[in-house]
Amino acid sequence: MTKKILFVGEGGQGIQTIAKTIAHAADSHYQHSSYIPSFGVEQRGTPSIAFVIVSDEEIHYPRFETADILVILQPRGLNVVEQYIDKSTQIIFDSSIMEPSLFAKYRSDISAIPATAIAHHIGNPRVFNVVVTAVVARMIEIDRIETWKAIVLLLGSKLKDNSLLKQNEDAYHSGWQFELEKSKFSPADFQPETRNIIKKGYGKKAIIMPAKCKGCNICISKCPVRALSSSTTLNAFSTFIPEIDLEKCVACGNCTQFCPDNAISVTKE
Amino acid sequence: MRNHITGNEAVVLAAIDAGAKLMFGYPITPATEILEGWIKYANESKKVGYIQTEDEIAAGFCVNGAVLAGKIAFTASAGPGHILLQDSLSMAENMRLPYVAIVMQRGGPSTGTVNFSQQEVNLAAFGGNGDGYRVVYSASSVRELYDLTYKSFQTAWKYRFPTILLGDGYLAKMSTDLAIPRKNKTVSATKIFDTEHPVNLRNCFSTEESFGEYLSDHEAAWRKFAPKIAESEKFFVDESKYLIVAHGLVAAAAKETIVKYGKTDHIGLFRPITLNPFDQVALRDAVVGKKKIFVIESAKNQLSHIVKYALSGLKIEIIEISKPAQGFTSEEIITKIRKHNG
Amino acid sequence: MDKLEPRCRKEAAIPHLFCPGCGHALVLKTLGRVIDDMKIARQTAFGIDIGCSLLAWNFFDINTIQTHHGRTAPVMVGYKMAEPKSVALAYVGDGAAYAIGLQSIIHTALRNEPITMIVVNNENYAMTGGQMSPETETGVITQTSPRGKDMNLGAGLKSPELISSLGNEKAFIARGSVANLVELNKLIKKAIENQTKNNSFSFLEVLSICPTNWRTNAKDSFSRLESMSKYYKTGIISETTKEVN
Repeated sequence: MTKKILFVGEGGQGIQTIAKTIAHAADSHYQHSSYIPSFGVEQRGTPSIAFVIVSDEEIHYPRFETADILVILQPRGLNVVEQYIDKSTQIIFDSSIMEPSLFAKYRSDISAIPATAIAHHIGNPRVFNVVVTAVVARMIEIDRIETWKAIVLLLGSKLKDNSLLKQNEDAYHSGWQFELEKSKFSPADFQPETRNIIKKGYGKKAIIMPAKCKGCNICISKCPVRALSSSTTLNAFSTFIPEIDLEKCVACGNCTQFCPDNAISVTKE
Repeated sequence: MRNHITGNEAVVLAAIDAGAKLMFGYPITPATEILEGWIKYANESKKVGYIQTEDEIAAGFCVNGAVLAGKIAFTASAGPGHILLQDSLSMAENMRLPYVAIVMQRGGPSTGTVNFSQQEVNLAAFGGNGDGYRVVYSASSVRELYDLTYKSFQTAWKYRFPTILLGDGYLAKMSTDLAIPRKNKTVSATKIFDTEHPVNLRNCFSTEESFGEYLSDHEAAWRKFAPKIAESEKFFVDESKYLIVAHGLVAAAAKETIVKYGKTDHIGLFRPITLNPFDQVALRDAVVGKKKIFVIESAKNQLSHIVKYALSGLKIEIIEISKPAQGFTSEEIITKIRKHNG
Repeated sequence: MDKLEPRCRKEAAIPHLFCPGCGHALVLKTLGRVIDDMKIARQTAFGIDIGCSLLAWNFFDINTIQTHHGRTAPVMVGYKMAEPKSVALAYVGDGAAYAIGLQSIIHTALRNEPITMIVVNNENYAMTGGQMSPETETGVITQTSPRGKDMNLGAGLKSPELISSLGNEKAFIARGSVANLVELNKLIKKAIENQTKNNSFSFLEVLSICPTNWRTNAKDSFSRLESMSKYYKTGIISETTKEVN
């Protein structure tokens, strides 16, 4: 029995962690496993792709032509991994950020989990990759406890905080017991905002551009009066744009000046 | 008193006549006189520039920079310096820059000897990482050092492949009283960096697929132009039974052998003038009906593996006569050939 | 293209691919403004290295060339010699400049080659995942110094000071920081003017942040930057006092 699994998402979403975890824990059910990332020069901002093979036979070559399972967690990566899809591919996607219609043309079996929405509900969007790990592990029948051990090993110091540990545990549990959606898909509510957000008031005008914002939070940290804070609106990079309280804002210009992406401006009107 | 000109001096004259504007170099035997000759001309004429750089790495990259501005530029080196040029040559291969380097082969590896060898053929023809393309000429006389230096600039700027001219230490330092007809037309050069239409040039790719496509374009260009660039010489080939294949100064010695013993021993010479692209079509034609091929080089298996690749599929006996980093006299050549022929 | 972007920015390359919070983006934003203000976009040639600086390959609508690692200085030296009326910029990271490229920078400074070098110093080899560089301060943990950079490997290299010690009086040598973009703007302008007005060498190091490899949030990134500037002092280190022909 061999399963070829392709993971694709956004750089920074934790795709490699999911893939590595699956490869590590696979020996609970398979003789061999391999993992290889597909990487380019950028650390962020381009699709993050990983190839995992689990098999009872020896694995010689870590990449493949067609994926048995495609786990896709960001729509941007779809055109890069299209070449690995055929109608035998089982596609698993995050229904809280992608519409099922994206996959209609492949005639493949599709199922979904609203992983981003679940993680949001737990209170930490970053645990979404643990939700997905649980889903994939269960799907290929590797051991629940072994997989959790692999997660703990790979996330290491990131789990030292007790509240973080609890959130990850909740995420894992949610993912493991989730009944994958086959038809009635959750609404894709966690789509990135694409239009500029313009806010006026208190003699000021603020423009925030989700198409450019990377959610680095420099603007928030540079604001002397705490007029800026993180919102729940996603940008194109799967992080959160800031939101502004124009009453507190003093139009000092710090946010405009220090934004590395020229994604925010506040001016006096 | 006859006017003598050395090989290195011939290179400088050709560069001047081709319209070269800048030379970047580092002292290294046996090519140093090229840098010195150029600097002398620069100071006297005030028409050209130069930098003696901190090493050959910088020299090669200065060439890459200068050609972006549409100025004809070159470097000259040898041995360990030739190794250092491979980084800049690789960049020129990937970005199709009209880079010219004159390399006077000496014995390697490492410091080796400063005199002579034909041991830099592999490095010149295949020294880049990745499947890049560069043109390699091999000069067999002082006159050819002039002609092929000029031609290197023409080829580089016309076809946009980095071009190396291989000579060696003996050719570089020998002088001849033969007059060399000078060219009176400069090579035409165009800017790569245009102020009206700026370009963004990179040589780093994120995906294998996009890089593969880019390399396919290079391959297509090479396939198209290689037949126009490939060059060779036949010396009493048609009437011979045994064919010597040799390049550079070894070929010159072989010519002398043929002048003396060609009729009695039925030998001819096929001399590749380009080592890359190799004139495979002409060689495959030249070997028809020949009893044996003698590949003679002052290296171990560098020219011969190019020859064997070019002749693959043909049933013909190929004998390698090699003397790493040592030259052949015409007497030596005929002795060795006769020994093989029994 | 919106007005927040410098005019010389290349619209097709928005958004750029630098990491969230990357200091390069702050330096390039400032450099773009200077190029706009000085109206030199047409004659500028922008050389970049390997490393995160290469992500700027299509940042500007300006003639740009990505070179090999540590080789940006000689490429721009060759270009400037061939095109003396140009503004030749070499934009590289601390790994490229101070390790593999240091030989060339020293000699470029020594010969007073009229190019302007901007070195973005975030104390690590960022693109390859955060290994230590010659700028990494002692005790700092990186991918290749998992127990903190060994004291025996020396303190971080103070490169503008090193270049200043070469004795080229015509050079403009300074260190700025992304903590102070107003000051950075002035330094970049001076650095470029030393090329255009004085036909001489300029070297500007810019202290920068790398939240991805430092694993810091926005606030902590700037705190680390603050502490960097206690060791790597900002300001003008050397400049010519009169205009040189």
